[in-house]
Amino acid sequence: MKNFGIMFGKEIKEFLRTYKVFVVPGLFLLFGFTSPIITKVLPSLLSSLAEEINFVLPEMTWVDSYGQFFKNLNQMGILAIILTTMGTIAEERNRGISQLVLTKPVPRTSYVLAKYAANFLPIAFTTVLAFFATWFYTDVLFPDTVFLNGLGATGVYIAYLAVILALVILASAMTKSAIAAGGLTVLGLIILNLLPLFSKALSKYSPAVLADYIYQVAGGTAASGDVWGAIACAAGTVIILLTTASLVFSRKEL
Amino acid sequence: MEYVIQTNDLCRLFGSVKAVNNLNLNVPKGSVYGFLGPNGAGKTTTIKILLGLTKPSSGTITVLDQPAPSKNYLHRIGFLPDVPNFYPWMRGDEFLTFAGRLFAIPERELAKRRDELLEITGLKGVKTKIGGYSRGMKQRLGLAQALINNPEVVFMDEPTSALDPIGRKEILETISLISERCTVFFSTHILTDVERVCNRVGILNHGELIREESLADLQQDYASNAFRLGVIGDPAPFVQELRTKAWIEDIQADNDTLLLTAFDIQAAQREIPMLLSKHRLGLNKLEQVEMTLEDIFVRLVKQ
Repeated sequence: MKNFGIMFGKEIKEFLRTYKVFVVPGLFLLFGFTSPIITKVLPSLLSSLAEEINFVLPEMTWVDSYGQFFKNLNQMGILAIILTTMGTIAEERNRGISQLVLTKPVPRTSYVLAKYAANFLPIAFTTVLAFFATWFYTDVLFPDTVFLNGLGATGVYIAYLAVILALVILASAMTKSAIAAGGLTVLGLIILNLLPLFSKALSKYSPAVLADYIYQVAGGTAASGDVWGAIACAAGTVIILLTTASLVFSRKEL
Repeated sequence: MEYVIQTNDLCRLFGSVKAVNNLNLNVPKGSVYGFLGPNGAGKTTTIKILLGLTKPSSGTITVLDQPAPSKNYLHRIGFLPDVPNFYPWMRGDEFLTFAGRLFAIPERELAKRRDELLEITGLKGVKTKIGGYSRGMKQRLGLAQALINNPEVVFMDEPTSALDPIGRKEILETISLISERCTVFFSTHILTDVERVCNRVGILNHGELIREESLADLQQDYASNAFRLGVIGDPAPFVQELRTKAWIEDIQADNDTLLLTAFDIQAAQREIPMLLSKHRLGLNKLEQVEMTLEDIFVRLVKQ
């Protein structure tokens, strides 16, 4: 892990000094602020748009507000993360920057892990910030909001995010093109989402089911044993994906 | 002689193509080694193997007494690729600081060395981000980062091929300057650059090292048996007959000027006047020439 700290510092600086600092954090914070408001006004908005149709919508609660927030993060958020990180190794390799860095005493494992850590931590931090924004507005707009449910769901989302990001890093280490890395990530996600179909254990603990547990934890209906089991499996999956990424990248000719 | 780079029967195959074929390099300590070859000869592949960026198919490598690919020598070398690319959001001084920290250079010493290198490469005071640098500026920054750790060997892969004449001159001057304190391994196909800064050459063609010696020896070998002959009249029949002579090695004709290389100089000196007379050709020039590296290179590659 020689020079991990220096590589990590460089990656964090890159995050802060390029467009990356605006895209994912900006989007997440936007979802954080707007999700509770959209949830609150959606029924009246639909009624006003089509006055002749009589909409019968259940009354929205803080659970719906949290649900809206995590639905946004799961769709647009994940897409933004893939788009902004898919070139993190592939592009540097393609442009020859990695040649300059890796002919200095930088082990390829440090290079790969620094990329992962420096992409993961700011996004995880932003997710927590965005949750606080959502919790604040949810608490203002809806009665009896439970803070801990939302915080727990945020934790589960971050675990899910850790797996997705490890998948992106592996894909980026495998190829020389950011677009190909994006394609490989999507393929990996499809495989990850198919896994629960193969066995009962996988349907409970595979990383893909974390996406479902987020809503259950937010609503307070999740079985905590299953959730912790899935988080442990996610941690194992991250280790496997990153080890594979390091091995693959170590064998790549630059 | 102490060698800082040695390869023994180094091979690299890409499918059935031998990009590097039984390469035996010996780069002496303190030399400026011109690694010459036409495009596609295997120069970049060789450099990448020496740097551990590409794996050899077979053969052994020793860099600074360390067997490759142990990478134990990475902190003692510098590398300048042909077209260096950097993080566009950084400034040049920031990149040098980043590179220096990777070598664990103490901060105070790093600041001093960074400023010295920025001065040498003419980048001192440039506050633009690297994304706004010209190609020449990037090349000079590439040279500075290759020298940040005071390397014992600097590898340069065609460092001047993408530059304008002024940029080339600046880079060559810097190479001359640094050659006083380290060994330079310098791949190129620009022969005038080699003549200007190198004192030893290795000539590579189709992955094979066809010649390796000091530039002075190489020029000496080829200078002693070459003549430039200026003739008056049609030289074609004369050239035709010359080609039949056992003592002639090579003839390059350029209108009425001929560049002759002979195996036996005395025979050439004796017979050329007789042949000129036989073919009723006038003579306006007959001189023994020192061949340029370009002449030597073309001949070696043609052979």
